[in-house]
Amino acid sequence: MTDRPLVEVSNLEKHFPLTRTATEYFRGQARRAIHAVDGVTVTVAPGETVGLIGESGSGKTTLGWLVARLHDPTGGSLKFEGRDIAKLEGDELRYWRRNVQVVFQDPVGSLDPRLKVWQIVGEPVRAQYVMERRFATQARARFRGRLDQKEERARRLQWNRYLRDRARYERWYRRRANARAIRAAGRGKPPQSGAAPPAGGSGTVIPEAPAPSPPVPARLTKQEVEAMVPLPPLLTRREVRRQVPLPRKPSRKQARARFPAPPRLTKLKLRNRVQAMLPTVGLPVDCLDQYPHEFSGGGRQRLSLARAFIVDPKLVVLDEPTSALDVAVQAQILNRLVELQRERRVAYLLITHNVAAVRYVADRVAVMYLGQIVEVGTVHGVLEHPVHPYTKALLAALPVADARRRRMRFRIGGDVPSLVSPPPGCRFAPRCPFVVDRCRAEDPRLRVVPGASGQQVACHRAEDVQDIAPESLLTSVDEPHAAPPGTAS
Amino acid sequence: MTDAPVVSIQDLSIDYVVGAGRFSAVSNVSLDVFRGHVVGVVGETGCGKSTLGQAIPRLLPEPPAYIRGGRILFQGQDLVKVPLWKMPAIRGTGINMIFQEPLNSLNPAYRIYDQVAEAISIRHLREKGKTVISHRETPPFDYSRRPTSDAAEALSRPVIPGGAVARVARNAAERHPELREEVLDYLRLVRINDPETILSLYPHELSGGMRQRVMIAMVLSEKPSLLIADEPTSALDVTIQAQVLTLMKELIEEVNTSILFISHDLGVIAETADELGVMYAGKMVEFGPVADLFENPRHPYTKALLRASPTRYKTDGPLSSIPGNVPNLSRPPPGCRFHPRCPIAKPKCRREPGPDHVAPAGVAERHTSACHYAQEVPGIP
Repeated sequence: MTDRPLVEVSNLEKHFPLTRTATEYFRGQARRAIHAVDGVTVTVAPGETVGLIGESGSGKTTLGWLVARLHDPTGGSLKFEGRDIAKLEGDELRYWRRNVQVVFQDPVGSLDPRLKVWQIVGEPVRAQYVMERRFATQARARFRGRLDQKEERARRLQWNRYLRDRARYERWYRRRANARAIRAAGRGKPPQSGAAPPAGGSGTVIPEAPAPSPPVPARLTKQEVEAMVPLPPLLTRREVRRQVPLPRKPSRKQARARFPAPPRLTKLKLRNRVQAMLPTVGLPVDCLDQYPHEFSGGGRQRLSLARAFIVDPKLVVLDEPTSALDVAVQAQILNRLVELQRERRVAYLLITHNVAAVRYVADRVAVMYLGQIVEVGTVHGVLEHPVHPYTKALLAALPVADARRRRMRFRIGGDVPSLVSPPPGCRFAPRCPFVVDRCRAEDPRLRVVPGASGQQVACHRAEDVQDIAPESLLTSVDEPHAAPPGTAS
Repeated sequence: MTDAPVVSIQDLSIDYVVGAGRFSAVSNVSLDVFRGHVVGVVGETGCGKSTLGQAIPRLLPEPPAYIRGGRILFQGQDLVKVPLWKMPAIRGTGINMIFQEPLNSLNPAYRIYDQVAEAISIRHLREKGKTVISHRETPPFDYSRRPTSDAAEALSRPVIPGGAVARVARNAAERHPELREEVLDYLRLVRINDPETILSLYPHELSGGMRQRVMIAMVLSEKPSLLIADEPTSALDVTIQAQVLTLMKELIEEVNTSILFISHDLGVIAETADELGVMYAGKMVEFGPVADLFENPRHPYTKALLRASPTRYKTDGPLSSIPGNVPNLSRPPPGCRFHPRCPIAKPKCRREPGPDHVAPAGVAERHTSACHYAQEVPGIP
């Protein structure tokens, strides 16, 4: 196990915006949002199980979906193996998805009734194969296509440079030819200017009569120069290209060698792979051609497990994996989950409202209430010595197979409040029996409570309430009830 | 138990006939619910506990369900023999049900007040001796037979005052302020704070716990002699479930009605029930007082079920579970239905079905087990 956590979630937020009504719009009221996950910080180490418990509406499923990037976070950071994945998109995201698999709650709805077992369980393998093939094709095309462009650019550059050099050469050649022609015209002829003989003579005048001097040659025209000294011929593009060798575009064969396609996935190979997977989740190997409706609830959930584990993910998000199952079947699935984790060193994010399941499977547990984590720590610490009043209430509310609880009455009242623009302060304050004024004004932060068993708690009164047992939130039926019972009978 | 039971189920067997297949969902179940008692029925999915619950008020769709045999004695009549169109007179004030999903049991098109008031006014009409049967529950028209001209038979039927009565009842509810007070009383009875605002809301505007409380208020307002609660808290959250269970426990004390409480959660049953029946594959395998049954299970299935609830940590070793699967009820195993998964199965279990209602030694009164070797059960590791 490395020291680096597998998943680092810090201050993660997911707000689902609400549509404003016309009245709200014209009054200019701000857009409201459901604060499903509101500033959650949690880490998952490789090979570790983190349990998320809370009631429905506490945002635990949203958090799981965020970690699997099935939702896009609206704030905060989300790191997987040190890499920020909150903003991944497109093919990058698609490639990253192999690290995380999800097992959904509803074993009926999450399996396509028209696919057979080998198709359902093999689906992730097939999807990855198709994706890899597409990636290889794209990479090859890019490899060849990019050189194409390069070559094109190089050739254009080469031609332009030739044209430029040629023009320069022409100018130089013409100037030189002109000078030569002038010189040739001047030789064996009287100096062009009789009126002004070169100075430096004796000053004596030459007695001969001046011969009629030829006309001073004017600057030659281009045509005249070319007629006297022909320019080398202009090269064609093709000739230029032949002179300068360029890198060649790689052939298809080279591209294939550089970016090989994954080995072809035949139906037989896929079926074999699924067949090898089925015993590890406790299913018979001869059920490849059955349909999901032929399985019981536990069998369907095993299919979901097989589908998640067949691609060897590093993290599996288990979203209520056993809620739809009976107790005995639930025990089988939980045992299998623990065994699989031991064999494959996979990390779990176990989302459930079933405290018993979390107790058995998880190493650490985070308790969520209305989008925030109220308590996080080891399973022993949180479940044996809960500090936060909500954790205590949750544990006290669990129905236990113990006939003595018949005389007990649950003391926490009220309903889970709305998540739309929640007020400041502790979210549990309206239902909390230990509430003080500070709880309604100030947001509690997660902090380690001295004296508790190492867990972090978001409660202002953590020190005061940590010694109160969860059972004290139950009262005996014999005690008078706070609210007068109804008068009707 | 000197007085007669409120409902007495004797040797009830129910089949589902689907195509050529025949699934025995409930076979030879006997159960007595006494006045003021809460009887729990627990079992896995598909063990027939909901079928049993729905068979008592004859809410099962027949067909495909088919009551093969047995009797359901309620208020001196055998409900199996009562024609279906007469059942609505017994439902409501006689037998009432709370279902799992409260949103499905409340009418989404009516306000809470209308729904609770209708239940109360129907009870008032019944108390005055009037028959209130809505037109839907008339005997179904039998196309296979020509209409009889037997005037005597036609006269012997009660006059069925169609849907108008329901409408009249609703109008009457609006006109009568005392009815409104009674509605408020029942809503207060189920601990709804501020019931005046609830009255004008629709079911979808309430939370799950509130809906279930309104449902309980409606059911209680009809003052049924028997209440069948079919997984009333399964769709609720843990803390809300605890609130509803607390409410039900208090109401059991106050209202003193008999309840048949169906659940798959042993914890919920432990908190509410006085007596508990454990069902497996359509059979009642064990029955007894809750405390004694939990302390002293005398059927291997009950013991396995009790031990399967996970209460331990990962480091404590694997959870105990029941090997194998629930048997296919179209071809149930011969003999005792649990024997393929039973740790103490012997050849006799394969041949003979378990004994019916045999009290093993060393248990409380009324504690019976359907195991041949009930004495060996405490020795199972």
